[in-house]
Amino acid sequence: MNLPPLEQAVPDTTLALAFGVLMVAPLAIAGVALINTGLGRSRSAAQSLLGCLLIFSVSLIAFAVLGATFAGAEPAVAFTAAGKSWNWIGGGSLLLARFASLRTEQQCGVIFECLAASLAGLIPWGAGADRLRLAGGCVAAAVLSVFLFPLLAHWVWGGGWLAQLAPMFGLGAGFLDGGGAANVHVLGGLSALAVIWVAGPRKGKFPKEGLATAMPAHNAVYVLFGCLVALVGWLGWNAAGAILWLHAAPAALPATALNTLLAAAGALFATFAVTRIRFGKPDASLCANGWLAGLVTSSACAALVSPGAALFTGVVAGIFTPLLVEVLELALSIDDPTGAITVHAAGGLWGLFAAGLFAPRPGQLLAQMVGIAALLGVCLPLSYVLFALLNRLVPFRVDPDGERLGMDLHELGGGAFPEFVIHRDESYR
Amino acid sequence: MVADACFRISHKRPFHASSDTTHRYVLRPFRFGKGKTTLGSTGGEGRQGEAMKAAGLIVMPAGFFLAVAALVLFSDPARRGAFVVCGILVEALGLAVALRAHMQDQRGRA
Repeated sequence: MNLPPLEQAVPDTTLALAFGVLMVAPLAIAGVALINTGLGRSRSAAQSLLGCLLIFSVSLIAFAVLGATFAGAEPAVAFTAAGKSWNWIGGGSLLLARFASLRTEQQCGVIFECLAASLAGLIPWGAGADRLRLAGGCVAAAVLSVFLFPLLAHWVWGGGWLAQLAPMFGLGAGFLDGGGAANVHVLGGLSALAVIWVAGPRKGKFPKEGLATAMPAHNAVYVLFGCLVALVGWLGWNAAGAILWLHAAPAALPATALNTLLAAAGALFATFAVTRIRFGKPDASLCANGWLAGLVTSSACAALVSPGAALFTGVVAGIFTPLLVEVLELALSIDDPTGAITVHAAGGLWGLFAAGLFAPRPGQLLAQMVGIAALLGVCLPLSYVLFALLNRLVPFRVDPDGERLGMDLHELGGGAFPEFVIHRDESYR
Repeated sequence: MVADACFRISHKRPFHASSDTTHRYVLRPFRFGKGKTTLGSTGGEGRQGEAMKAAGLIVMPAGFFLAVAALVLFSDPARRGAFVVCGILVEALGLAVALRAHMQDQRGRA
């Protein structure tokens, strides 16, 4: 699909449409929050959902106060190397002081970035379910919103060096990512790995002998309903991103929506088939992960590729999702209750690669690969170092007593389901 | 999340809830900045694991700079592509080392 040049001004009617679909985008956050909660234990459900709300708020405030300054379109730190100007960090006003003077398109972009920063913060929170303290989760989300997300948002959406790969080196249309696969999902997924490394696994997850202990999700209904809610949000998210960051015309939006649906459906069907063949029966939680991985891949390529390519991308994501989840847990001893690393990091990277592979522009694949190299080389090392330092000041992990009681009783003083009997698991005997 | 899948693979008993119940609501004061940090370990294996993880994470930005250098140094798309792929492979190597360090650390803790 051919997109108009990025310099073209966006008509008011298109901006009104972008603002409308942007108002649906928070449903993606609601869906992810439900999935995070359902995949954790029942004794941590209230803490998990409250944490999602808190992290949403903290991320939003942190980005609005400080992060938006570095994500701005005006270059603050740029240097010249090899005759090219490399724009690394954006500059803007603190506390969005000049928000009113921005063009409507830029204002919508700031709202999109605020929501994107919040979603990025939720991903590591899900990965640290059942052992991450509210304070630790909030601090980690704030750091993501103030430092890492704005840096990547400027590179990709703010006219930074990744967006300028086309005029600088003639690579396609520069690094393209309309729905935030790079600076939301890959960043969130790699930060989730960093959080897991810093916080460690849940107690009793990896015993001395034998395979990893099974710790089932407490509510499959939350998880599957969350998938449906997330789909609605994702449709709005990808449509708004296509208009704001790729300057797609309204005529291109039906194709974007269709590609989003096809990617999700293809991924779900593939995961269903893989789990059915591998385990004898389909696995509900892994199918939910496959669905979400399909949506994540669509964030990268829904506005850029044909429907057939979107379906293929989703199917591939649906095939590797259950296999990678299994490898991470059983072979690499990574305790990721929500599958955030597989769904968001691996799904996002595959989507970005597929966008280059199937986009009808010469040099686009190389531009996407340079972007992938930037994401891998920056996100994980930086987030791990920052989280490791933060963990010294504000411990991420709850103490063993709190983990035994459950996060609800320990942090909130009451459970999510007070009429239910609270059990103690056998690993603490 | 992989609970059911793990159960099927390992043929373990499902996560078993005991009959012990508690109706006590324990209210605890908020403790900011106190408690144990989980980073690293006091044992030799933990220190070795941390050093190995740090080495892996240092290698990853090196791969990124290799990819950026390819853009500046070469104009031929094939050479650029080859070097960018090399950069990503270097990053994958660093990630593999860090993951291996994590596994070693986990084994030490267990």
